[in-house]
Amino acid sequence: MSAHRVFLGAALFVAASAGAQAPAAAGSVQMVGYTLERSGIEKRIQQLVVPVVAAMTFGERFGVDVATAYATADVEIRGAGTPRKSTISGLTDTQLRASYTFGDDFVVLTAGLNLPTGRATADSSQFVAAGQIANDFLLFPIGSFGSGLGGTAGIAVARPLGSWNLGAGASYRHSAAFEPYEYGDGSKARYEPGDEVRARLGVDRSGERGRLALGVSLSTFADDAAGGGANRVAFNTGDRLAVQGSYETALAGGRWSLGAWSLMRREGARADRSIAPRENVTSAMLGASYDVGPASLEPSFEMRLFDRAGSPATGTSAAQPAERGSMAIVGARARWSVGALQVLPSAGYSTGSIGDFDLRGLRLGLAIRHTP
Amino acid sequence: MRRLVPVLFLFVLAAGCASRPAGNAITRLEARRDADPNAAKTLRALGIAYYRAGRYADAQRVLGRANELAASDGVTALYLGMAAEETGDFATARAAYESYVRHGRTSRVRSRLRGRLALLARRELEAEAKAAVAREASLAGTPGSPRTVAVLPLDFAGRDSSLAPLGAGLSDLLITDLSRVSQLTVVERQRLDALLDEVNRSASGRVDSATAVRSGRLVRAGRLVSGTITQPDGGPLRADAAVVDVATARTAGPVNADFTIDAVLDAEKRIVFAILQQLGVTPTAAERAAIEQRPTKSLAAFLAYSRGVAAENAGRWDDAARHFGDAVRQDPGFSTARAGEARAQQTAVGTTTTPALLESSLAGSERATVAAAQSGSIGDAASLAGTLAAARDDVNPSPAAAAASAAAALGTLLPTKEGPAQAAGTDNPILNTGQIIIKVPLP
Repeated sequence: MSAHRVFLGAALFVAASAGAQAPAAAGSVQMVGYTLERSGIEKRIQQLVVPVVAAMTFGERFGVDVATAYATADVEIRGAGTPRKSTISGLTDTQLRASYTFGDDFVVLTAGLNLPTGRATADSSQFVAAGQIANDFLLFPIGSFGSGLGGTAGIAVARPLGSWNLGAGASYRHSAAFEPYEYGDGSKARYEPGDEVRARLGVDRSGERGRLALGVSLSTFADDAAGGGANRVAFNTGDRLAVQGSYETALAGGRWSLGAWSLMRREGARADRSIAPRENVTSAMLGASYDVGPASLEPSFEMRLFDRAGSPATGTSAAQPAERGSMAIVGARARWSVGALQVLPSAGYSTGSIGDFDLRGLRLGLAIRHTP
Repeated sequence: MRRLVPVLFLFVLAAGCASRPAGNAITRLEARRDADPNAAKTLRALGIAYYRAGRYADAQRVLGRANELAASDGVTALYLGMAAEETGDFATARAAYESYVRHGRTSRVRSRLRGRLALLARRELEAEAKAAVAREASLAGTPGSPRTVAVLPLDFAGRDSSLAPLGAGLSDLLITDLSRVSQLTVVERQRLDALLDEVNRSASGRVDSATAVRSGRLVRAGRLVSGTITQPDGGPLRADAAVVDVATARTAGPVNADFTIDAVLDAEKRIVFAILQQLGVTPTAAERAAIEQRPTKSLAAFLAYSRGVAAENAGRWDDAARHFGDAVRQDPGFSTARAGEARAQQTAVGTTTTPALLESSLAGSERATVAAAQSGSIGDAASLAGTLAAARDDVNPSPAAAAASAAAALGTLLPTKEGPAQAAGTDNPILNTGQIIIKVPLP
């Protein structure tokens, strides 16, 4: 889908929402870069992202948001022979979501459409960059430029449970096949994503001293398939379990939060029938918020760990050793409110290691939200 | 083992929060109130806790203050109304319930409160009647204005008992028509009925002359209209009405009208104009024209309407609604009957609407607020809305939306996506799982 069609669609969305209530919009510019070094080899990964979102509500119950981004990603490797560079840039896919809330009962039906406005197919000069921004440990703002047409249908409910709130949800996602890679001869690899079923259970409680929130999400996937015809290969990269928790409280004149999440991927298989070993990324974070004049200053410190199991050799791949990583991230964000506008500049620095590589990173961002 | 670390971490967090001693919810909320006496949510939670503990006067006082601070808060209004009902302050209860109907979020409760309001109006009149009887001695010394008129239900003394409700129906029409004259103030039927109940109307439903005069005095009426419908020898009906001077108990010359059942509405008009003459009041041309309007041309509809009025006077709301409904079916244009049907239906709902039923009907955030108050917390709608938003965004994520609003890029460890947890340098793994990702191993 061409860019002008996207903007035409966005214009139609805005026109159609003329009778909507409470339109809100946000946009940001973010730059995230990491440098990995090992005995003379240096690898730089950078992503610049300009995402935009507009959200509208129609009456009290129906809401729609549409979001897309322009992104560019670069990977440059030096010190091992000829320097190599991979770059990919352009629009990402556009996500259109709608939610309908039933009465006063805190039940929401939600539907989402992933419109394939992004660059789903990467050639050999783009493929490394397109793939490395998907890293679960480094977590770039945009993990994928495009993944074809897809749809999600789900339901979410929230209920009080004594002094706790209980939230639960489930969804089903189906994605059409797309072609993630274009070979040098112009032919393309075909990929059929497996359908996803996702379930979430969360509880939270606002007490005298603060607010505690816990959540767990499980995603299970049907088999993916690569290739077509006689070359079709079915595989499954493994289910994912994410656990989150946080506690927020007033302390020493400010608001403090302590949070943690862990993302666990079960062992699976790749298209070449090699083992995709289990993987675990865990993070703990301490953050604070202090009012400084008309703004809020929000310093934070995060510790993130990475753990991937080793895998034995197979007929198509060599044995992979276990790999671990860790990263400390210190950052700060400011928050200014000017009328209906909120401006949020931020900066963060990270240092650590992954496998044999030392790692350092820089993150800069400027976000602007408009909430009438 | 390393995988257990996050799980243990979360467990410790949960235990640290959940194992706090429950203590006494009221004591905790009182302490919070003392620390900040004007925090509306604290006062709301304390008021609910008082109400649940049966401390209705305390609840009304605290919730009254909360209502002043947050006039559009539905839960505060609901519990203020229920507490005020318990203390017998029906005026406050009515105002509070009306506030909930305007601002409350649970449609089931709004619907039930409309019925409760109709019943409450009746209860208010009963309370006023009791108060009037208690102040009877002082009221006796201050006669009502001669332009204030009360109309008693006409007695029926005929053989055909099926026509007995005509007395109630005719008196209701008399009240309606006399009320069209701006020079008169006519006592509402329900107000007089409540008073008659209080001064011990006889079991037959008839009001003796002494009781009638006493009732007129208690409702501050200067004139009283009473009368009887008779059916001599089973022939034409006869209405005898009289205007009584409440101060002197003297009766002006009777107003008579003989009529056949088919001409009952014509007879009522003759009686109205005769009463106006006796009262020395001349209606304007417009008022006269309004009086001459017939609410219905259907005798069957009027008879059904009369049965509805009689049932309403007796407090039989379901029967009243049924009879008014019959009247509407006989004459769909009979708007007074239609209004009566709605009023009786609502009042019937009100009689079955208990505080416990109202509480159990609360839904969503309002239910969460009450549950939190019972445990000494001050939960609110935003909290449950945040829970719902977290669940929705998790099952249907939009990575671009999260990135654009600076949520994913800056981290969203809290489901609410706001607050200091969104500090710079942190990321949310959940939001990125909405994408299909082709991975290339590092480096």
